Amino acid sequence: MRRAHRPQPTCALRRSATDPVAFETVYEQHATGILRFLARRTLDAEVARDLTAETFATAFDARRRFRGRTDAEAAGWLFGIARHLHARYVRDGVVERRATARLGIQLPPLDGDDYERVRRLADLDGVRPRLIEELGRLTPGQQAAIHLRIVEELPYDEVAARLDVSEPTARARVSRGLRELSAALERHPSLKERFT
Amino acid sequence: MTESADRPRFLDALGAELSRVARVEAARANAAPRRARTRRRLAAGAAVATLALAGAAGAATRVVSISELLPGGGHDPAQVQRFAPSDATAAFGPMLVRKLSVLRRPRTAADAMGAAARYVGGDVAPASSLRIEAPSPPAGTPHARATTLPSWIVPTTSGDAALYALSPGATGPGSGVAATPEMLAAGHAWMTTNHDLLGLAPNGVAHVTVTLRDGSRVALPVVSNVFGARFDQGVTDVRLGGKA
Repeated sequence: MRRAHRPQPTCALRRSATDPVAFETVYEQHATGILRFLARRTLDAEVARDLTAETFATAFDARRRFRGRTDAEAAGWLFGIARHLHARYVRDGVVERRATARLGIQLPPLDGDDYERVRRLADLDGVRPRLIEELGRLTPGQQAAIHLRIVEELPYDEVAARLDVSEPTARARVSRGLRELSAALERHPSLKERFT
Repeated sequence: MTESADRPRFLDALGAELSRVARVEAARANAAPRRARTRRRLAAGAAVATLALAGAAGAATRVVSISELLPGGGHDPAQVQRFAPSDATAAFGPMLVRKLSVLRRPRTAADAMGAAARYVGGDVAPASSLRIEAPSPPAGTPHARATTLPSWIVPTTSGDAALYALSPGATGPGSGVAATPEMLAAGHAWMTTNHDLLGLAPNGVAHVTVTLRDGSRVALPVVSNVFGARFDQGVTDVRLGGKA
């Protein structure tokens, strides 16, 4: 008796459950979008890179649990992971790296052009006027911490030294400030589209 | 401005990393049924050898020979620890010890990781580390020069080999990758730290071919299972080359 032929799923993420190499397609389809999504929320190219890497590593680890059938459902699932990881980053002030560490994925360095490319990709310049306005509503401590970390791109230990606070405090000020900024920007009608 | 012009370059490198992980997993999945068959054959072979040797000279004195007779060795770390010739060899899985002659060399004080041991993960045994050194690329090799990264092979608790390299100017290992026998055979036991490449190749492999970001290819020698170099750009792929 002939065995019924089961067609291969067309969704690359679904296919990757049995064919891990299909995950390459998933990455190519969504890497830029996920990075843009995260860069607009973190306003920090390095953090956006780390969260992007963790998003895809988490997705690769959990790909057998994806139950959708379409690329649109796959995108929703991936962005859900990114949103969850970003929420944790905002809460804790540190990027979780469990999945990248478990898979032995090395984070590639950013070269000089990459900072500019992330800025253009996420249209951070378009966000800037609104950002400056909202920045003025934060506490002075949060404003200073965000300025040092986001504008001057200093590492957290340097931010802490400049503000004469501990590193966890510096991280907390940046992450709380970013959370408030992010919430304010998402409420703004002219930017709502870009932040969803 | 097109999206491709705005695509940051690190996304390509990250994609290459994910691709490597995916291909290793695919190789593992393909090897799994074969490994199960091999284990069954080895178990049967070991039983026959035990009976024959026990009859000839007494099982207790010939167990080492039985261990040597196992072509794949199975995966019994306890057995290997009892009979392996050096403490470093004992900590690695028998399959890796067979494929990597560098793991069979005697361990000396110079192999210790020293202060760098603080930075390795909790699932490795730095006390059994082996210091390694990548051979210099031949003079005139384009894009490449000798890497100076201090590097070690360290056994993991599961018997695999973790490859660690200390980043220039850093206080701890900058990068590490755990190499399983399948990864080694597939040519995936390599890592990069910025533009430094370090990797392991199984016995008999004389060189590897490295593909760089600009698409050019560079051949590197393999000595004592180790290869590596510092490049003037990123590495996108490594393929095992000809036999020695």
